[in-house]
Parts: sequence; structure tokens; C-alpha cells
Amino acid sequence: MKVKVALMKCESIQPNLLDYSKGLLSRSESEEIRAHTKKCVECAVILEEEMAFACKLAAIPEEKPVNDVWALVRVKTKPRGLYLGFVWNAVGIRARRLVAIGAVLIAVVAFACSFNQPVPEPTRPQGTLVVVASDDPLARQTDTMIDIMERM
Amino acid sequence: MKPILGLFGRSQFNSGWRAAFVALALLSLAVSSANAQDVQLSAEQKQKMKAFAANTRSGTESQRDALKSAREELGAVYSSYKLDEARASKAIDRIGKAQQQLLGVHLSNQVKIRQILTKDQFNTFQQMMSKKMHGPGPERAFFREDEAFELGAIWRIKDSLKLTPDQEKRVAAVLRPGNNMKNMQDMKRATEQLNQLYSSFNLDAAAARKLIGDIHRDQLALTRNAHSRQQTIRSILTQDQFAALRQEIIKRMGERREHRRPSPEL
Repeated sequence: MKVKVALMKCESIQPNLLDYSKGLLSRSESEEIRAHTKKCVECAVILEEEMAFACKLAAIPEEKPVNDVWALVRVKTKPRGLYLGFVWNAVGIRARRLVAIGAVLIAVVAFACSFNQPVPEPTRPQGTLVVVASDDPLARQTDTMIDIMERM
Repeated sequence: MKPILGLFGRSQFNSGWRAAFVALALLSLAVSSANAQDVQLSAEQKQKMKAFAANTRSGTESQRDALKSAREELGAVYSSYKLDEARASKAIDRIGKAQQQLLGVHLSNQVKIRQILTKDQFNTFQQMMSKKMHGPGPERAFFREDEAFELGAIWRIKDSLKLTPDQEKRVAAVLRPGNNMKNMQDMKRATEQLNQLYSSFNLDAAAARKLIGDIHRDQLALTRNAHSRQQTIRSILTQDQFAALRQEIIKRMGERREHRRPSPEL
């Protein structure tokens, strides 16, 4: 195992460092990377940088685009005034019944399920502190708890 | 429109279809209400929960603000070559106290919520918590951002810093994660165990306090390790080399920001 670790190249380790920091790798892969980063300063440094960068990205609030380009494209490309009545007339009465019942059922299910839709998340105000995990390792639990309690 | 209207006429929409339609509609309603997770609270409980949420929010935010200001203070100390040990020590103490207070706030929250909710309500609340927390959450690094950049920067500009072979060897020793990794892993493990305890209605407060002690020990060790790393860096680098390193850190952090947010106003 030691020989294998020693032979592992930084090029094969570095692409997996972020996944490693998130705990997404298998036990054996994690062991290999852990052993490698103990010996290889460069990979250890990159690991810390990747984790810090991920932390920074997480601290940035989500941004919504000012203009939804796809909506603009749809407006330009959407077919207008297409008549589909001939399709309806071409099918038999049984098929029409099934289609109509299906549509009503979908509407009923969608209406019923709409009661379970989560209330949209309040957006995190700009400048809110996202503390370092070692400072407040239970921050996510507390914030989630407060969110739920406030919605009760 | 005509065929649709005709469909619901007495002659075409027979009783069999009607029965099937009603049964399916009722089924869909039953399924949806079974999925609905809601803690049924009395008016008094609701009021207590609201007050509790407000207190918890203000309590945690004030401690996080204290942490932030102490971290900024420590960052200011670390930005100059000559370490002001007294100032650093005060900031480190403030960080430690705020960290401990926060862990205490979490525990007292857990005790209070069990005083408001019944066991069944608590279990439903926990289900809501796990549902909400399911999936990727914010990534949180176990160290300060500029600290990580400092390590990377030294290594990347070691040639332009013109390190002597001896300096290079000592820098390599500083960069090894060593104890930090162990502290981080221990803290992560203890935090997971604490979360396990908090998910059960019958809270073992003594075990929770022990885990909090373990976590805080690791927190203190991480802050101390970071400080001793700062001392070591200064013992290795000359003042000019340190100044060049600070420039590199600022540059690299700026590049990262540019990479994430291209627009200048951001």
C-alpha cells in the first residue's frame, strides 16, 4: 500500500481533492489521498485552497439574472396560432374521455400537491456573516431550526 | 370546446367512469395529505416557538458578530510583519469565548425545544429538519480564507521570494497539515455525534456537554496552531519576503474574486 501511495502522481490526486474535502470519495480513495497529502506539500496546499475557495463561493448570495435570455428566445421562436382541433376530431370518443379525465386528474393532483410546496426561502441579506466551520460547526442546524420555527 | 362539454353529459359520462374519477381524486388527496409534514401546535406553543426563534436568532447572531470582529482583529494583527502578541492573544481569547458561547447556545436551544414540544411533535420537527437539510449545504472550510491563501502563496512564489535552501525546507515543514488535519477530523466526528444526540427527544445532556468540550478543545487547538504558524512564518521569512508574500496573497484573493464575479461593481 505504501509503495502504491508513493507512486501516485500529483496529477491523478489533484482533480479529486475537492471531492475528497467534501467526503465524496470511497474510503480507499480517501485513504490514498490522505496519505499522499501528508507527504506532498503541493497537494496539501491545493487541498486547503480548494476548501477555502469552496467556503468563499458558499458565502456569496445567489444571484438571479436581470434578463432571462431563454424567455426572450422563447418569445421569438414560439409558434403562434397553431390549430390543433383536427387532432381532437380525429380521435374516437373513448380516447377523448381518457384524455379529458387524465387532464382533470392531473389538475386535481397538482392542486392537492400545491399544499405541500415549501414556502420560498428568504434570501440571505447581503453581508451576513458566514462563519468558518471551526468557529460554529453547528451553524447549519441552528439556522435551519430557526427557519422552521419562524414559519410555524 | 364542444366535444369536451359533450363528454360530461349524462349519456356519455357513465357511472363507472364517475366512480373511477372520484376514487382517483380522493386517492390523490389522501396521498398529498399523508405527505404533508406539519407540527400541529397549540396557540400557546406557536407563541412560545416564535419567541424562542427570535431569541435564538438574536443570540446566535450576536455571538457570530463577536466572532467576526475578533477574527478581523486577528487578521489585522497577522497582516503586519511584527506580531503584536498581546493584541493577538486578546483576539484569540475572544474567539475562544465566542466559540464556546455558540456551542452553549446550541445546547440550550435543544433543551428548550424539548420543553415546548411533545415527543411526537419533536419527531415531526426533526423530520422537517432532516428534509430541509437533505442535500448539499454551504461548504464551510475549517480555516480562514486568507490563511489558506497564505500557504499557497508561499509555495507558489518561493522562487521569486528567493528562499534559501534552509528557508525552503522550513517553509515545507510549516505547510504540512499535520495536527490541523487531525483536529479537523476529530471535530467533524464529534459534531456528527452531537447531531445524533440532538436528533433524539431524550437528550443525554451530559454526553452532549462532553462532546461540546471535545469540539471546543479542537477549536482552541486550531486557533493556536494557526497562531504558531504565523510566528514560524515570521521566523523564517525576512521582512521584505513577508511584504512580497502579502502582496501575492492580496493578488491571488483578488484573482479568485474576479474569477467568480466578472462585473466590476461586485
